[in-house]
Order: sequence, then C-alpha cells, then structure tokens
Amino acid sequence: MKIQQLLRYGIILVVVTLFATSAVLSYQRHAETVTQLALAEKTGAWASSELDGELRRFLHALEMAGAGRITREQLMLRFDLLWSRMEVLSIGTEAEEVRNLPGAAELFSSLWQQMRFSEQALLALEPGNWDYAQQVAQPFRRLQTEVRAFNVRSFQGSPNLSAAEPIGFGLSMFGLLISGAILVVLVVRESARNRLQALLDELTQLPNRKYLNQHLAEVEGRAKLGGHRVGLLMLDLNNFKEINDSLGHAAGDEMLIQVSKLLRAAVPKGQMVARMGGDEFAIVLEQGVDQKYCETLATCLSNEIGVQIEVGDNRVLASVSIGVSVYPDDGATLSQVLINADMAMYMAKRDPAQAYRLFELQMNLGLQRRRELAEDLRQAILTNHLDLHYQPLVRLDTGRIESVEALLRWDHPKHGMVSPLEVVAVAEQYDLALELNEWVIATACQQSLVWEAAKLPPVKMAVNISPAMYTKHDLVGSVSRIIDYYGIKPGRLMIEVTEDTTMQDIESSPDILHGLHRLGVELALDDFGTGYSSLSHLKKLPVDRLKIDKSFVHDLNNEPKDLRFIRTILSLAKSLELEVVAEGVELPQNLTDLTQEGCTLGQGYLFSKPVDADALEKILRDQQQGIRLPPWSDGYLNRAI
Amino acid sequence: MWSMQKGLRLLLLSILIGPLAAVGSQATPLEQPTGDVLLTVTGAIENTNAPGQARFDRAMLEALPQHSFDTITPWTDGKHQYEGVLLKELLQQLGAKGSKVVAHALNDYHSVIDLDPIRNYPVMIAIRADGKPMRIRDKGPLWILYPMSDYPELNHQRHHPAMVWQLNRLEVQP
Repeated sequence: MKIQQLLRYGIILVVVTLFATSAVLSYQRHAETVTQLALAEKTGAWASSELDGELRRFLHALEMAGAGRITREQLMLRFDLLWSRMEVLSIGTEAEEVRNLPGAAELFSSLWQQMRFSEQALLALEPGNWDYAQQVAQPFRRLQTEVRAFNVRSFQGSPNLSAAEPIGFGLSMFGLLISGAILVVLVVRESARNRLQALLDELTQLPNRKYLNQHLAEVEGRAKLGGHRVGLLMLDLNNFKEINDSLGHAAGDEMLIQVSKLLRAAVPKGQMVARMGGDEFAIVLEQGVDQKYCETLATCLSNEIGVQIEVGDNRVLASVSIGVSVYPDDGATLSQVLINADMAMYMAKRDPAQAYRLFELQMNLGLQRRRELAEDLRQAILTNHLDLHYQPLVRLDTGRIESVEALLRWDHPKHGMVSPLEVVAVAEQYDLALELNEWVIATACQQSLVWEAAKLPPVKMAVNISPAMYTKHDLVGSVSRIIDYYGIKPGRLMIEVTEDTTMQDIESSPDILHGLHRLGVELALDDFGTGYSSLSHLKKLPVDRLKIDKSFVHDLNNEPKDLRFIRTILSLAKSLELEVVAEGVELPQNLTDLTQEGCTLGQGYLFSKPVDADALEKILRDQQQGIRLPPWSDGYLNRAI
Repeated sequence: MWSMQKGLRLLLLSILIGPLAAVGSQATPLEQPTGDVLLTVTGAIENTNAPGQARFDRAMLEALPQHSFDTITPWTDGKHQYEGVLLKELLQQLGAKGSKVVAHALNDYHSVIDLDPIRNYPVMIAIRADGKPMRIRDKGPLWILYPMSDYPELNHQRHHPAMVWQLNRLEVQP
C-alpha cells in the first residue's frame, strides 16, 4: 500500500516534471518561432511598409521645409534616408521577395526616376518657399498612393511560414504528448479505481451493501434463468461491541479485517462475501446450493471464527451468529430471502447455544406481529391505552399491605393480552423504551396520588424498568422529572431492578442506581438469586431490598422441603441489612415456612393476584375497615397452622 | 551583510564586464569632437566628453584601433570590405558597464543588442566600405556589421535586426 502510493506519487512527479519541461521548452520554441516569423515578415512586408513610412516622413519634411520650419540639410537627410530605403529594396537578398511581387519593379522604377528627377529641385529649395515645395511634392504624393497600395498587397501575400525553421519541435511536442497520455491513463485508472472503491468497503475491501444489492439483482436474473438455488448467509459478530468498548476501535477494526479475511478464505471463489456495515457480513452462494450445504458452511464459519481470531496481543473469543435462507425455497425474491436470512440471524443471536439458524416461516410471522405491536404500542402509549395492574406486597406478620408492584397490561384489540415481556421486548427493539417506561412511572405516580387523595392507607409504589433505560436513556433524569411533576414523595416510589439488567452493565449501573438513591427513591433487586450478581456487587449497589425469586419459594412446595437457598439469602440480607421479599407465595404453608425463617415481606397469589386500580382500591379500603387479606381473614391461615 | 551583497554584486559585474572595465579604466580621457558628431554614446559609461555622453566625430573614430573584414550582407550585392572600430573596443574605451546596447539610427530605427552572445565576435561599427566613407544613401555614415562571411552562423535572422545602418547613437544599458 505504502509502496504503491509512493510509486504513484513518483509517477505523477515524473509526469508533472516532464510536462513542465516540455511546456517550457515548447514555449521557448514557440517564442523563437514567433520571433523568426516576425523577422521573416520584416524582411518582406516590413521593408515595404518602411518605404511607405520613409516616403511619408520625406513628404512631411518637404512640407515643413516649405513652411520654413526646417533647414535644407534636414530635408536632405530625409531624402537620403528615403534614397537609402530604396537602395535596400533594390539590392540584396532580403528584399528579393518584395522585388518579386507583381508591380514592384514598375513602382520602384518610377520612384527611382522621380527621386533622381527631383534631387536637383530639392537642393535648390529655399526653406519657406511653400509653393515650390508643393510643386516638388506633387509627383511624390501620387506615388505615395501607389506605395500604399503596394504595401497592402505585400502584406496580404501569404506569410512565408517555411521561412521559419521548425526548431526542436519534435522533442518538446513528444514530451507534451507523452506526459499528456500518461496523465490521461492515470486519470482513467484513478476514476476506475474510484468507481470500484465506491462499491468496496474501505476497511475490509470487501464488497459493500451497494455492491451486494447490485450483485443480488444479477444473481437473481441468473437463478431465474438457470432454475438453481441461491443461498444467503447473514453473519453478525456477537461480542463486537464489547471488543470495541474494551480494546478500542482499532482492535475492533482489526477484528473486522481478520473476520473478513477468514470469510473470504473459507467461501469458495466466485461467491460473494460482502460487508453490510458494522459487524454484519453477507455471503451469497450460487453453486451447488442446498440447505445442507449452507448449514455445513455456516457450521464451518462459526467454528473457524470461534477459534482463529486474534486481535493484536489479545486473543479474542469471537463468536458469530449466522442466519441462513435459501432462494427460492424461502422467498420469491432475493431481497425477501435477504430479509429472511437477517431475521434468522437475529433469532440465532438470541439463542447463545446456536451459532446459526435456518430461516423458518414462523420467524416471518413473528416479525410481522412485532412490527404491528410496535406500531400500535406507540399509539397505545400516546392515547393511554395501556394499563397498570397492582399486586400487593404484604407484611407476613400482620398481613398489612406494605407496597404494591405495578405491572404492565396491554389488551391489544387484535392480539388480545400481550405479555409484559413481549411489550418490553418490542419497545426495546423499536426504540420505544423511553416512552413506555416514562408512561409506567408517571401512571404509577398518578395512581399513588389518587389513593393518597382518597385517604387510603399509604403504600409504596414499585415499578419495573426495562434494560434500555439503563443503557440508552437517562433514567435518573426521567424519574426526577416525573417525581417533581407530580410532587410525589420520593420515598413512595420504589424501582425494581432485575439482577440481569443491572449486572449486564455493572460499569455504569452503580452510578444510575446511586443517582436514583440520591433522589430518595428506594431500590429493590428483582428476581434475586437467578442472575449473576456476586456478593461484591451486592455490597456496592445501593439497594434497599431483595426480592427472592419465586423459584426458591416453589422449592418449599417440594417434599422434602429445600430451605437452603431461602435461608442463605435471608441471612445474607440480614447481614447486609436489606429487607427481603418472597415472591410467588401461593400456599399457606409457604407463609408459615417463610415466617419461621424470618422473612418479613411476601407477594403472591396467596394474598392477591395483580388487580386493576379499582380492585386494589377496594382491598385497601377493606383493610382500612379491618377486613384483611384472605390468609388472615377466612381462617385459612389458622387452619394451615 | 550589506557589504557582502555589494561585494557579490561587484564580483558578478566584474565577471560579466571585467575585461571591458579593466581596459576602460586605463584608457586615456576622451578629447572633444571638432567635426560633425557622428556617434553619441550614452548610458552606463565612465568616459565622457559631455554630460553623460561620449561624442565622436569621424576623426575620433578613425583614431581608435581600426579593423576590417570582408562580408556579404542581405542588403548588399556581393562581398565588400568594411573598415571601422570594434563595438567591443569602443565600449571598453568608454568604460561601459552594461549587458545591452540600444543602437539608434538616423531614421529613428532602433535595435537592442545583447552583448553576451556576440562577445566572441569582432562586431564592427563600420566607417568605410571598400575604403570609402559611406553616405547616408549607402547606409552610412556608420553601420554596425557582423562578420557574416567569416562566421556564417551570424548570418541569421536572429542577428539581422542588430546590424543597424545609419547608426548615430548607442545607449549602454546595465
């Protein structure tokens, strides 16, 4: 690359030098030629125009002498000069041309005659004798007209170009032509390169998306004619962002280059490997394609990428997700098949166990549903067509409701109830997370105010936040704005953080969590025990309570009871001075066991399923009037004990 | 610094016209013309006999070293013998410091003569043709002539304009 560049600059330098030298040379030649031409002109036409001038000056002198303004000597000087001019025209090689012009001989002869005739008269001229002077001038005036005409004729004579020797014409012209030709070649080459460059990815030198699309159109034409299959593989690196973030962009670029080389080497010649952008690659297979072949290649590629990538001094564990789709089996056009492959790749990415996925029709339907949901979700958020249900958290000793967890409900006009998980997934995928989460927090806060105004017993309001709020948006800002707007006491609001969400981005989450904590908002670690949180994380995070995942509570339902996890978590929480909530409390026995183990808060169907705002208001009002939740009200609890 | 520059310039000058200056500075002062002035030299010269000018009559010119050559010209028929002073020697005599001479003629013609290319040729200001003074009618009284027969390369259109006849004034340009 470097050497090529140097070479190119070298050639350009040489060409420019050659051009400049040739240009200077030919300028000099040109100037010389022009001078020569001018001189050649002088020898002919110039001499005759000089005659004209000399004759005019003589006549002028004659007039001046007639007017007494100049002496006879001065007049005779003019006459001698005219004479001399006639001599020059009459003899010698230079004036030969002029002499040979038609009419020259006659004109010169009559001029000589007149001059010889008038010489004596001139010598006799007394300065100031006007009439005499006029008389002498008369015949010259007549001749002057002829001289003028002759002068014009000799000028019109074809300029004798051959009089100018062609000097060094060849060499400088040759230089100009050569350098011009080289420049043209360079320009043509450069523009061809540019055209190609526009179709190649700068970093990897693989075809880019534009090139791929052009190529797909051709391939589709061929496939339609030949009736053969076309396989499309979409590849996406799984940990590219992490490598970019941790090792820097140079390392990321290096990785892309290595992957592209590896792909190029692994894919048969003549089959396109393109970079779609970012860490996405596409492979177009035209020869001998069937599903099996594509699968084999996909397996091969994912294995090789997993093994072979090394970036700088770091050995990077790369992995790739591949989506495979085959034309015409999976789609009627290649562009549809490309979309299919993309979708299959997306599905493969979601499943860490699978390096590649073949496209299935189901995926397409799933995609359509998600698109619809996304479109409608946007509307639902704007028009308040989502709903929150509330599930109480109760004190296990008294049965009093301590707080409620707000849970998202969406009754879609076409698809019916959409699970909160899917709503969150759609929101994250289609960039609606901020709107959705702010809606949830705001609605929950509003509800809290409504209950407060209704003089119901104060309960804390817990809301769930989706991962994008931590990674993409300003969660602290959103919460702080909403709290201010509704004027709700920050202590009333509790934010539930799923362990996974938080731990995924442990580098930035503590700041966010501390920020929320500073607002006075309480934090609960949701689904505790299922994620990857370590004790050190737990110590670092400003959480107020742990919510034991329901799977641990369910363990209590088995025979024999497995209390180990519950106990461990409870003792851990105690030592860290955290409150603990047991989720998924469904049986009275759970309540008994949890109480015995020292758990103070619980949530589950045993107390209440999630209910709408009105229903929960009724429960709270009942509680206000001494009517307690089922385990405590209908003797259920006592029976169990 | 200044003196260095000045020194350098002097050095260059002396290289360029050193030979001229060396002789010129030793030359005897110019006398005054007594006859008609045929030639006036102006410009960058040291020896003068009028303010800024060196004026020559025929006698003065004939008193200078005389040279002669035979040559053809494009303006004459056949070969003729010309006698006169060398331009080079005349300029030396005047202590001229110049690279160019503008030659003016009675008929108001003038031509710029680059001295460097003709440095090595006996370029002459002819006073006599075939032993006789030249009339104005015969391109006299003074005619700058190149020895075209002895040096055929001088018989070139490039040089022809410099061969000023009816010469009456030289202007030395630095």
